[in-house]
Amino acid sequence: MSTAASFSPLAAATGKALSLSMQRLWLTGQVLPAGARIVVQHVFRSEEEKPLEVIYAFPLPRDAALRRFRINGEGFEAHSELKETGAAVKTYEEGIARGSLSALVRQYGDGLVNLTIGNIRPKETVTVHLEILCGVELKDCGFRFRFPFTLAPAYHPRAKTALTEAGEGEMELPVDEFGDLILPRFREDPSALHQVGFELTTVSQLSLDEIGSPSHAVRVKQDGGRFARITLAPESDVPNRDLVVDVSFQSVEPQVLAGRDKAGKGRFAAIVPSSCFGVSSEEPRRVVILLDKSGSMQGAPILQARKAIEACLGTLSEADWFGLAAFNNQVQTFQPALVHGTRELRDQAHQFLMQVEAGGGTELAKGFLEAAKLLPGGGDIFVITDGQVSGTEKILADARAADVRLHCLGIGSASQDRFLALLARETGGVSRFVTPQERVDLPAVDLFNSVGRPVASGLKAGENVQPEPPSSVFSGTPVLLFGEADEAAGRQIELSWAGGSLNLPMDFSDSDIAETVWLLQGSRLITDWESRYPSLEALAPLEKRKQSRVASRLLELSQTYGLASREMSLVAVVTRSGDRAGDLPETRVVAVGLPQHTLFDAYFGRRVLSAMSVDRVSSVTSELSRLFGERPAFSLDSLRIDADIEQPRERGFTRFMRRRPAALPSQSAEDILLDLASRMDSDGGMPGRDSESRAIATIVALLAFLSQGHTAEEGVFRSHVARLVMFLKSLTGLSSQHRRTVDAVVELAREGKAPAGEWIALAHTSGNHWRKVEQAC
Amino acid sequence: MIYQQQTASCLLPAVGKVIKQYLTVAISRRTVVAGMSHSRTLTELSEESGIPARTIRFYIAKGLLDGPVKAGRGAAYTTEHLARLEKIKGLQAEGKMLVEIVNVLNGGPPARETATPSPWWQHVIQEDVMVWVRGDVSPWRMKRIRSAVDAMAALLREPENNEARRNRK
Repeated sequence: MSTAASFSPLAAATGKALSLSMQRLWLTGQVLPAGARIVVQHVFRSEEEKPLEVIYAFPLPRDAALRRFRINGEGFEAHSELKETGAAVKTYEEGIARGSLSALVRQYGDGLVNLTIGNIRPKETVTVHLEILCGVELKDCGFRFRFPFTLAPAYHPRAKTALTEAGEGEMELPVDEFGDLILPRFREDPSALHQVGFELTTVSQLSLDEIGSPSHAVRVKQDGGRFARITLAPESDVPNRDLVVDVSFQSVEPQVLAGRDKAGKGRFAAIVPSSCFGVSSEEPRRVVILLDKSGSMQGAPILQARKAIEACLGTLSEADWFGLAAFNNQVQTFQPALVHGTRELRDQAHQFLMQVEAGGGTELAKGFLEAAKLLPGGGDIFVITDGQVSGTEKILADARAADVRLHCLGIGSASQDRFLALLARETGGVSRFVTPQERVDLPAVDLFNSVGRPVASGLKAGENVQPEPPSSVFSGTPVLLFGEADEAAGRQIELSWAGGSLNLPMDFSDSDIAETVWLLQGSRLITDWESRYPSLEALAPLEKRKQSRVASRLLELSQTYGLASREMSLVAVVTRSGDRAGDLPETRVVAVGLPQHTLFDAYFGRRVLSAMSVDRVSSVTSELSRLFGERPAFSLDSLRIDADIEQPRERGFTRFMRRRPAALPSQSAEDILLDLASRMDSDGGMPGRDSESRAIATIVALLAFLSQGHTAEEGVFRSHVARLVMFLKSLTGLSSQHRRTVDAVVELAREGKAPAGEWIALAHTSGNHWRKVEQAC
Repeated sequence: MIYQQQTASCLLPAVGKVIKQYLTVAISRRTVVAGMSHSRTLTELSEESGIPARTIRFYIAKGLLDGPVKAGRGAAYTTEHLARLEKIKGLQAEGKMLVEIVNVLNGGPPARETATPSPWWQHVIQEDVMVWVRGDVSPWRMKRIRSAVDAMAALLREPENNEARRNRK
């Protein structure tokens, strides 16, 4: 691991690089399926001639809370105290006034944190080791750990941005909502910024399968069993994207992490795969697909999202009800009410999608409130968004009141993971987050498969489980439980739901794990309550806050678990000889890199308009070319850019977009499968002239899915496979020879395998393929 | 901290009203600033202004606010500092960013604020020719531009030999 570091914060007044070197930012710790226990090492170094105060802003990962920090340098080491925020700020300020080295870690709305360290002496190096507990994104077959190395500018109707120097921009959030939070400067070129890196371990009760990262080059050392070490492959990297690590298990089984704490109390965390609860019902679905068409979705994401939605619609039967809406500052709806999933209406939905263009801000609440109107009796909304919004507590309050389940597919290189995970969980849905390097369409189809059809409802756990488990369980997403147990409560976790129950045995022999699961439980509870704490309430005077139920609960949770929240902060003051009272330290704000794939000019620069126009127009061009099959004769009217980008309150955000490939790569096997999925008829078969041609088209499509590992139980296209099989079983009037072929293919589907053959290529071409199938089967 | 203040009239009762009017002596445990409005510590300035001390230091570093009138243990802030903070708050309430406020207060150039967007129309008149037209010009101007673009498009559509013939004429 490198210890050499070069980092240049900027002078607040001039924006010029300072001789202060802060840093590197290095992540170490352990990632478990139930969450992660991380230590973030921040190295600050001053080359200045006077004392410095440095402010570093960062977002919390999902379900995260700050536990403590250790601060050290030459000849000293000190540990933080957890104090009520007002008292912590006072302690910090008193330390600064005395000339002592002081550090304060304080949380604000949206899970944003300011780490402030003051009175760093000239030529001094100070390191802050901050311990953070955080959650992971769970799947039945593994988990995804995500840690933010940067902070993305996010949409807020009252946020302001400005270009301060070439390649550097500033953003300010409203003081009445965010208090004295200080945001970093955003630098277009992150190469001169602090170095980042990581050295993590992971351990699981199940044997580990694959470990990788879509965000960073990693080196993985597995012991062949349940333990692995994951490190950054290069010596260091730049802070312009989240770290994302994927871990998959070799099997899908429940895991119970349990142990006894020092007082002898049993603590546990359990991960129960959705497959333990049964399979999805076949009841008709009531679902609205809500597409974020804000400027940040421009380029490949909106194209991929459109394709994904069409493939999602391919899973709907005529009995299902669906709606479709797209939002930026405004909401466009496909139909004023839910409609059946017939071929005709899906074709109309296709036409609706084709005219959806990305641009404008991200009024997410407006989007889902409008979508909720299509679901008067309740139902599910499937949201595809990058989630780049601020003021999330208000959005969450709106979402809870809407009385619908939100399922979120997030896209982005800097984390809004925390918010989207909360948005889904607080409304009873599930979420996934993908990086810009990954496909949007396949995870979208995968997630949509589970939407609207829970595998279990009315889930209940014993009183010793806290927080309460989700009411509904969805295919592919396990249930995570935290709790405590004593002898009286027995050594089992009891779960029951409508039509089923489950007992999971616990083994408390691993005492090392007890403290970690206890802290993870606390961080999860604090995150849940933080999300119910509107910023306006959180910033009220102390006397008023004391009346707040949320404030009282947060205070209690912070004290119980020893974790920070907006009500309690971490502070340390190091008294040393030579401290000089009264000296005013120079304040510096640490700059961060703009997230990868985010166009700097779109937020802060003047060039944005022309850049956006070119992309928008080229997008229109390609659409018209596609529709008319030739280069269109352009008219002025057809190329008019939406007037809504002129709204002054949206400055900065209406125009932000990402530099992504303008077109999708040439068709891969997944592209062809997506195309097949989107062409499926509402009865589950492929289209064709007559039943014979429909039968062979369906058989070839089914073999194409099977050849790529998608079965009726597993894989992104599991719903499509199940519907294709159902269609083949229902066919009547075939010749006896064709009937035998159909039966053979249905049997292959049941076994989950396909015979050797170029099924993908065959599915992509029209013609009579009976003979080829008969030869292969 | 207990703030103690006595006016000139208390200290120098014989000097009379004129001195009382022009000289105020402020005494605190930490500092005495004569000839100026009464002084305060950073904590007191923070309490009076309602702006956290850390934010005040940030403003000083940004050039929004002057540093204390005296360095070190006796660092003090005056009524002018307080007035400046009130002004900053007012400008923020008007929607100005700190980088803009620095320039307003110091009389510098306006910040390079993100440009207000305006719509543009792209007019591809040939495969190799494209004309950009600002979309929010007045209708009469647009009409004129449109006819000019149409004329240009028509001219470029003509076969080259027609164009050459016309040029020869």
